[in-house]
Amino acid sequence: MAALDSPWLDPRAAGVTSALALSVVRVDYGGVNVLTVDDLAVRRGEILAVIGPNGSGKSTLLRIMALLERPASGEIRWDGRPVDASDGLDVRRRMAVVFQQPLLADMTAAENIGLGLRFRGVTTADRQTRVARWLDRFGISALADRRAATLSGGEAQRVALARALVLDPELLLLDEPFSGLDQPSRASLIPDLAAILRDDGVTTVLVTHDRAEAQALGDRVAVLIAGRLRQLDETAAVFRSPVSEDVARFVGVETIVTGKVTAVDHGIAVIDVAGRALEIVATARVGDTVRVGIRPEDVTLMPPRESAATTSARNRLTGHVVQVRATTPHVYVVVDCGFALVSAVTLRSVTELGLAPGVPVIAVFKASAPHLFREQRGEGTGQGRTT
Amino acid sequence: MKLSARNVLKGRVIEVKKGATTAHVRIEVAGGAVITSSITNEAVEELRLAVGDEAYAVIKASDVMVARD
Repeated sequence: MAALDSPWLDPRAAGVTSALALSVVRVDYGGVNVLTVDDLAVRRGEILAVIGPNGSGKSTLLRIMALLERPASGEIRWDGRPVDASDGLDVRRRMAVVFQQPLLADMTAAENIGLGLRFRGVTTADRQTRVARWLDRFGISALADRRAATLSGGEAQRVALARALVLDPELLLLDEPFSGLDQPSRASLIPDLAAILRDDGVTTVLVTHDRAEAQALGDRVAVLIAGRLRQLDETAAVFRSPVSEDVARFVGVETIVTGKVTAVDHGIAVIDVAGRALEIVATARVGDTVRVGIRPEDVTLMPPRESAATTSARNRLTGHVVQVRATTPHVYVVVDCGFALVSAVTLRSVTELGLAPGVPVIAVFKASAPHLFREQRGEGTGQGRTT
Repeated sequence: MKLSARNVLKGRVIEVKKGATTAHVRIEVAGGAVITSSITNEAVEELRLAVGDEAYAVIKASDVMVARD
């Protein structure tokens, strides 16, 4: 621990605001490029969620950040200083990594949590105090003397997280920490972990394939698709304004349709989609062909007998339900209104409105809800338009 | 009003401020809480919204954030 107090390790002295930064990092496996990251900095105190489909390079990125793997090229900076895997323990001891790794089954929960402290030569008394505090913070004090092998999945994951956080890491790296858990365990652990990370301002990188976890925990979200960083922004911005269709699909934009701009007036574009005129807040030109993305969370359903003029929402499309798909936490209702429009509603609404295939409904969404894509494919930064 | 949004809060319009495209409408609901809505100017005209009118703030459950001190 003494090494941590060296003056050159104090990040504030050099005015460095990122804990860890990657520039032009490339990872190749067998000559094939699996990950290229031009620029990615983890800001001090933030929770950065890295999301992407399976095989997108998320875990590789985490292993690079943890200095467990050396990139083919590029630079990794810790507190502004270039580091690599050969820096070994010095830097790695200031990080904590939680993979989906099992605990030591024959040791108790408390012994598992205290393991890293033991390796670091922390005295027994100090260790016991710190372990007790983290057992308490994760609500597992009653499990202290239980053998790890007898813990449930959710309990074991609390122990694994406590074991990492007890070390006061300057960077916490989490690889799919909830993926092996049942829904009730996840639902209770996510807010508990969020509260701890925010209270302590723990700089965290969370890798997950689950966008709901990123939404619940991330201050910022990085979207990784096919080994490329496609978008990095505040969480709300990524979900509201995905840069491209593949990012949009991954962050849950279920409806993406083609339309033609027929009028533009005072910042509102009228866009014809399958014969329905949608009013959308957007900058567009008459005659443009555009792709329109609509998030299911932005679509409200009402029975046709309700007067459509009673809400301020500019888009009210009559149609009928074609599919009701139960997911968590929403139920997705697909409405045919000339095109297939997906709405996310609660189970209570399904029951109260009697939503079932064939039932006529009016789908309602605000003019500000849809998102226009400038390009049909690609990086989403150019002005080019595919036709 | 019957619709899938879980939160339908009755209140009174206390301000309507039109902008270039959108208008900000402030609705005071029971208990004195004020909810601000951003809607199009056309919607304000169509609903003939004016200060003092009774109106509902409609919020989907998926749009409500929860925070603690």
